Amino acid sequence: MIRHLFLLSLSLLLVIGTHAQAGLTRSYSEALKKAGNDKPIILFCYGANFDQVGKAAYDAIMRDSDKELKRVLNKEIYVVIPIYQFPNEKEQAEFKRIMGKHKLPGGIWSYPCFAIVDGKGNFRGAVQSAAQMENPKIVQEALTKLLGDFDKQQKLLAQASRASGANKRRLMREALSITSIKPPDHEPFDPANNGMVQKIQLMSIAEANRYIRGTLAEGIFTPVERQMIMATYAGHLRRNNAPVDLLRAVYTEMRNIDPTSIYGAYAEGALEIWVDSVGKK
Amino acid sequence: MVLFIIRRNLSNEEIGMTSNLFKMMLAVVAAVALGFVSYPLGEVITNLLRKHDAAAIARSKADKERDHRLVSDHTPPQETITISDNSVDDSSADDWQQGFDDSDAADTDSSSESESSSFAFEDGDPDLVGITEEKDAPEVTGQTNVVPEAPSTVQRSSMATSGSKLAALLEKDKETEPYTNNEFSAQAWSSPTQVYSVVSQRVLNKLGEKPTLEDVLAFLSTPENRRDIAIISLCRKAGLSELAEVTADPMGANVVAALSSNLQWLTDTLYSGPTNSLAGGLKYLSSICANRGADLNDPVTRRIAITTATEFAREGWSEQDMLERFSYYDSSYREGKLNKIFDTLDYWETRIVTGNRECESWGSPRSLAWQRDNVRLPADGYLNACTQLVYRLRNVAGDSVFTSDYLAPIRAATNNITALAYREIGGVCGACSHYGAYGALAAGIPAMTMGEPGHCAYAVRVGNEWKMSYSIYWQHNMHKTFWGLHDWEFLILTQDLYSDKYTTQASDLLSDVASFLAARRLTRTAFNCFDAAVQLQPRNWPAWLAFAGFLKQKAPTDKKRWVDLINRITDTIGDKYHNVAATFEARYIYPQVLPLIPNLSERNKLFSAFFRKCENFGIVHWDITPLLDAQFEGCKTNEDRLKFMKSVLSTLISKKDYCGTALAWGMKAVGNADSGDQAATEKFQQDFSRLITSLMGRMGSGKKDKEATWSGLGEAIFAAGQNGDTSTFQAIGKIALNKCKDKFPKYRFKFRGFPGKVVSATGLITTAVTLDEGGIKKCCLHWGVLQKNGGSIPFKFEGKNGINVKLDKNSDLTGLVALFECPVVKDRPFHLEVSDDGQNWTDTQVDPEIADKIMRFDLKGSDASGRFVRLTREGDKWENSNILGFYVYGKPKK
Repeated sequence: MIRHLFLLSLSLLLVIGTHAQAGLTRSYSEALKKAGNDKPIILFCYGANFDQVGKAAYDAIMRDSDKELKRVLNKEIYVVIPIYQFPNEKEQAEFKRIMGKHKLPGGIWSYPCFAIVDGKGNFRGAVQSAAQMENPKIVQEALTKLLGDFDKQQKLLAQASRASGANKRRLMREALSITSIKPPDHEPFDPANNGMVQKIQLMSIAEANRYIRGTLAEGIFTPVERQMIMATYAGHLRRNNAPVDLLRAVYTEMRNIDPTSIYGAYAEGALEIWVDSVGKK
Repeated sequence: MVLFIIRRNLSNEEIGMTSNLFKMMLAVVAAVALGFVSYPLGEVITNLLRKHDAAAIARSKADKERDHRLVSDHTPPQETITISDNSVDDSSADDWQQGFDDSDAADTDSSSESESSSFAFEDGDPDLVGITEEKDAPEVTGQTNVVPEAPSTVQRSSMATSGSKLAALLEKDKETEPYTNNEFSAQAWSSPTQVYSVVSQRVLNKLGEKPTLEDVLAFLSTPENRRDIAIISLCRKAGLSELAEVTADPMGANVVAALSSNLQWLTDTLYSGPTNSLAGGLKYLSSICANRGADLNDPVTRRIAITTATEFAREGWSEQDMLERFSYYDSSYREGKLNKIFDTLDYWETRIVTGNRECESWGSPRSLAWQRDNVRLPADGYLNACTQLVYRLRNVAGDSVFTSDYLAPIRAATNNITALAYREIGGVCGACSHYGAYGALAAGIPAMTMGEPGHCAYAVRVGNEWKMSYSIYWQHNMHKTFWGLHDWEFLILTQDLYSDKYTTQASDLLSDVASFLAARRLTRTAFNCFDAAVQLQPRNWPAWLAFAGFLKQKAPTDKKRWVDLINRITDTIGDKYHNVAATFEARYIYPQVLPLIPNLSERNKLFSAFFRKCENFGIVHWDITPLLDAQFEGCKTNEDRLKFMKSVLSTLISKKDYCGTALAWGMKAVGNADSGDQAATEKFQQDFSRLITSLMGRMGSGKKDKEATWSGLGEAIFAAGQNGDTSTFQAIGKIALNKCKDKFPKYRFKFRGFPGKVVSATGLITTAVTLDEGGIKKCCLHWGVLQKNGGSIPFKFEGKNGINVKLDKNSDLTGLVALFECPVVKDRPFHLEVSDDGQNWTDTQVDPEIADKIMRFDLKGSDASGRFVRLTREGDKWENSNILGFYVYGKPKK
């Protein structure tokens, strides 16, 4: 009985401790320490002295205590980072207190935003477009999804790190298929800048097909990277007057990998202007 | 009948002008007949502007199209304000005649005045002079120098003090209520000629018959007088007939009346930058009021409206685009979506923002709005915004960024938002720089793109400082300018000029008074006012231009005046803005003054005074060659040219910032020299070659001077390479080895050569790589690549562009060895081509042997011969490496 009570107390302490870890954290360094290997850190960055939109976002999210969003934030480790334009000494000191020696992670394109980083400070994703930041409700939905994706990817990556062979590859592929979260150690693949586009230029259609299919089968790519590789192939086909049906098939395959991505849209556009319009001309 | 008499005595052009004036005269008479009255209508106007019934007074569609054409076709040159004796009715004829009649030349030496009674002085409008240079300056027959003695240094100092008092007064006045006066109603403005007549006569009466500079300054101390001068300037800068077109429209008349009733509004419109196509700007402004219901009483709306209208008219852009741009900034501001910086921008700064170029839809409202909402950063954040784009010359589908296929498939998906499309697909320097610059512009922060050789960069104003981003080269061609001068230093000058707001306004006022008085032949006072204007604000580029235009007309052959002007420019503006002073002297003064100074020593003395000011580049690296070209232009014989070269190069070779460019310029100038006599040209070139070798031999090789010598020789050898001048290339290479031995590597290559001698050792090598500043400074290493111990030359293989070698003599070739810095990747075939003339090439059809970093072409049996050899490669993959040794073997032909 005593033993059971002791274990229960320990569990309660752990739960309370975990909760104490979450919520608003004063500094980025502290947040990095708290996050460890698995937890995400949310950075709420907003234009503090140059931007009415940023100020309004801060008021709406932090001061008006939007309950849903606040609830999401309070469950996580989050840091509020005011971004200053021409900061005075006081503002500089405040920024330094929060960021310490750290820099803001790359990948933030606009303020206000919610950036997600992991415990090593890697930028993993963000809610930052005007559409996503339109109001607290939309932010909350986008952030909740992003956090869910982060957890899912972390778990898959952890499993992959313990697995080997085909299973490891499968898990990695699954992890990378979560498009909203940037995997931490994945070197982005860019066919335009790594020589693939040049290399394929010298190939016949058949050679190009073999080359592309082989590359896709062997490598571990995100869906967008796979679409980019398909775009390389399709571009080569188009410039070499490949049959329209083949072009249609390739663009359709490319689109279907992820119709919502920019390269899904690219494939859709290509079908419209380079395939479907052919007979109409 | 009157018209008939006039026609008999005038040329066709004059007839056209007089016909217009006759029409204007009729309009004036009609206005008088209809009971022209001036009465205060300020409130009525304001209410009219506010509650304006668009339907009632909007122009017809046809009218709008006509206006649009007028502006799009670029507004005609500003018309000289010319009044004939018959232009107004009796009651006002005297006013006009007094202004332009010879008898009015009150303070000039009337005995020396011989201009015709139809004489009219064109403003010397800074914009006109600045853009079209002096060729557009009016020609006046029977010119005589009537300009008084220049003020002494003491007098000038006193002028500046008085001018400063005026500037202080202007600054003080900003705290009081803006001066308003509703004297001229919209109805009154239906005849700008009449308004002009009333105001100009009033000004002349107040100034008196022979006003002094002190009188003018005292006159300008009251706001009502400053407002009169501003109205005069409005009429003169817009042109009376063009202004009449504007005010023929009820809204146009209301807008002009509203502007003219408020001194602050007038000041903001007239003294915030160039006023080219001012009438077009006023038309656009009335269009904004009519079509967008803009309330000009709101200070921010007014600022956005005036700056958008004036800039779009000045640039000749369409009315529709102008309206959309106005709406974008006005609504963005109202919705609180712009950066805080925009709230407090001055008019001149706002013109840079609202007057941004459309440029492949980067400036379209939808692209601006997208960047405004999705790239929200503090000002300095835009300096890095270019990195949000992936750099891709070809997109992932392999389509070049220079083709429409590059973005075609996602145009619809991105809703034709240029910024979004490039962010998704990537782009090269142009897209990256536009993304950064237009991100800032979308937020209301001054920024602009700028061209560099083979590259595009951009600048953002952070605080009061312009900062460059993505820049790789020292030459910057700013894509937004006020005076058509694109160098970086002019941007800094513009910033400094308008930041010193009240001094500049005082200087502008003096310059405008000077122009007005000159038109009235009050030459002495006009001269003193111009002099005071530039003394007070030496950065006032438009005032200098107006002053020079005035001198050109009034004292074209007065050497003393022109030399004085050069010395003043050099001593004042040249002190900090070397490039600005050099541009002014080279463009506007040398063509005038050099013919007046036949003595070369005297000229060289003048030039030396400028160079003494330039110990270093000053604000930023600038191109000294246009100045040298202008100075060189004055030399008529080869003997003079050599003397000039010796003088100028001897001076500049000791200045580390300039020596390389000066040497390169000298070589180019000599290369271009062709006196028609081949023997004489060759002798000149040989003499110059000796001169340059001797001068370079004198360059320092001590520890302190070595860096300057190395970079100077680098620039010079680069120029020699560009010119294809093998002997100079070789000469400089040898001097560099002698002076900067430790800069050269001492490779001990091991490779198998070919029979014969290394015929490339005495040749010239060039690369397809666009070299940046640092690359040019190391160009002597290119020469080293042809030598035994090696050097370094970056390479790029794109189609037919690769590595070229020009041999000293046509040779039978036996082989080539190229030594690369990194192992050669064999993913693209190499080709070795030869040519006799550097134009027609033959592929040797020989495949190279490649072993790690060594490439060998064995040409035995290929019959390859020629004077030019080039190494190319299929495709255009970017490679970042160097060639360390390049040896062509063979036997020179006899």
